[in-house]
Amino acid sequence: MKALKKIVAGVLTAVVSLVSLVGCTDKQAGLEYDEYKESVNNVVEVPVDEDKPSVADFDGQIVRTGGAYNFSKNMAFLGSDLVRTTSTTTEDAFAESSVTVTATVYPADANQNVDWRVEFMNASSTWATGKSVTDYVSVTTETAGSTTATVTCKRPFAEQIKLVCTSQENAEISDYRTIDFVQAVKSVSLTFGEDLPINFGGETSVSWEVNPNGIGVGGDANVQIEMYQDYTLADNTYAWECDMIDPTYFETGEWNTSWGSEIYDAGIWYMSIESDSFYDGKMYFKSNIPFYSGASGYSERLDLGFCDIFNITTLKFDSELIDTSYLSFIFYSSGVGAQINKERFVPTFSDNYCAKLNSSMQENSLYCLRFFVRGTKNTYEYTSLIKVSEFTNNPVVKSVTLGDNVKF
Amino acid sequence: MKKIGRPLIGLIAFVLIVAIAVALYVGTNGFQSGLKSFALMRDGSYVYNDTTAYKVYAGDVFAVKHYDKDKDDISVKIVPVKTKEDFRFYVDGLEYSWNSNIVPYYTDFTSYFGISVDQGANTVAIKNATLSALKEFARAKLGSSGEVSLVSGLPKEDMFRVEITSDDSTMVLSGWIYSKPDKLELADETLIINMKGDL
Repeated sequence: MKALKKIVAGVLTAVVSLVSLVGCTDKQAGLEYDEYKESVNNVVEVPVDEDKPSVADFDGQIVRTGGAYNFSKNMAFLGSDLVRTTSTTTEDAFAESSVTVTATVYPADANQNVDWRVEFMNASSTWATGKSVTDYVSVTTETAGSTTATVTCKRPFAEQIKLVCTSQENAEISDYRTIDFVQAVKSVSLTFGEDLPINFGGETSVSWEVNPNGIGVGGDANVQIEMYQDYTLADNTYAWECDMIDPTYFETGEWNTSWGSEIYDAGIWYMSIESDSFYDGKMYFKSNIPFYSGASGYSERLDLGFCDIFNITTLKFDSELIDTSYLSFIFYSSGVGAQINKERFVPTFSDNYCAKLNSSMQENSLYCLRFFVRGTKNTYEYTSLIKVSEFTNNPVVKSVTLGDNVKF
Repeated sequence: MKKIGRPLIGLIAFVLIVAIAVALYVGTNGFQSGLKSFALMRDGSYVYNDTTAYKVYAGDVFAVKHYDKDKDDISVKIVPVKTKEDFRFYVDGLEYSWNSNIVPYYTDFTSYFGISVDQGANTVAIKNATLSALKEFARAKLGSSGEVSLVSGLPKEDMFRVEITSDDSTMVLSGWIYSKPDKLELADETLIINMKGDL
């Protein structure tokens, strides 16, 4: 009986351990927002318009990049899909998020030709007055009258939009969807202490204190979140967490063909990541020049900094811009990352995490700091390369003793 | 006066000839068909020539308007036509190809559309739309119980020729025979989400 209990206990322990491990490796994806907020215990509240409904109460379908969903009467574009976080230099420049919508006219042998349009639900509202709805959301078809249309969200909007599809045979035969926009984060700033601001989308030069008793830069995390003011669904609380990971591969210069193929076509270099060794975790690519990343069907221009290529296998470079001597290829595997103290970062050997880095640390080492900000629906990830620019040795002066020969 | 009169008469004659030529061109659909002895009128709109991409609806009534007589015998034939993009449909769960299984073998669909010709009133009425006609066809020719459904909507190209003949003249309306739409729905099914655009 005792043996059986031991076996059961062993199995339970193994299961609990496994669950814990999975939870740790992908905390964000596995948790509902409230659970996640509870787990990270770092929350920033942002002011919102009390008259706007909260995204937490939204009962429609939030459409996400790369997803496939069952449609509902109401849909909402997610702010984080329009506002990228990989670069800080492209403020107010938006990517476009789009969905494919299909209509059916009944009966089946009726003329299927339809017309599509978008309009503000309340075109005379203060916000909508004087604005053209198609600057915010457009609907297009490949052929006139097509029952398949692409609805594209171009920029944040603050008045609900209506997508209307009408039969060309009879304008009274129609259907519609409402389109909302979930409030987007405009910018995030993170400063450790008063003297260590993190430069998201680029490098953060850090002086590393080598004296275990010394006082380095940094300190408690100070997080500021600025929101876009154009939205129809408010997202008023954001939880955040931070980690830092070691580079698993770093090289400067030309593309290494052992990573994958390099193809030139019509003025564009296509560099495809093929090496299996780069697929064991989240990876980042850094370039000093503008570059494009993406799979077929879309492209994303990033002016500097990092590219999350976890789901992207091809990097695209404009041949007129590329100068391979300015390229840096840095691959990070999140699997080997270690979470730094979530609320405090002091880059000294006395800091627990920094001590762990001790063995490999050298001048110009590059560590990837990742900062996750998650709202009820929006999720953002910011990154910065932590560059060890110099070492300091600042022993703490604990006391001062006056000598006996001091004379007044 | 004589000097002015002759050129003026010549000019008027020239204008008349051009007008007649234009009328003939229009009346013969660019000299591609003979001059019709009648016109068709539907809901106050006239059709004078053979025409393509024409939309006929179940319940339509065409009045045959002869130019030089009150009436003549009227006959109607509806002929299926091959489409560039094949049109497919199911009969009792079995998929059929319009181009491969229907058009080459069945050249007259007239009886399936519930055509009624009123010789006294000079009118042609079309009762059924395409789906109902296909059901009638399936019952008559394929031994079906009439379970017919379309894979998608009707093809984009003309799929029927409606030939209305009277007074030795035939008017050909090439196009579709539709039902009137009664409902439109945006799909509840899966959507594909894309991303595009540059930052």
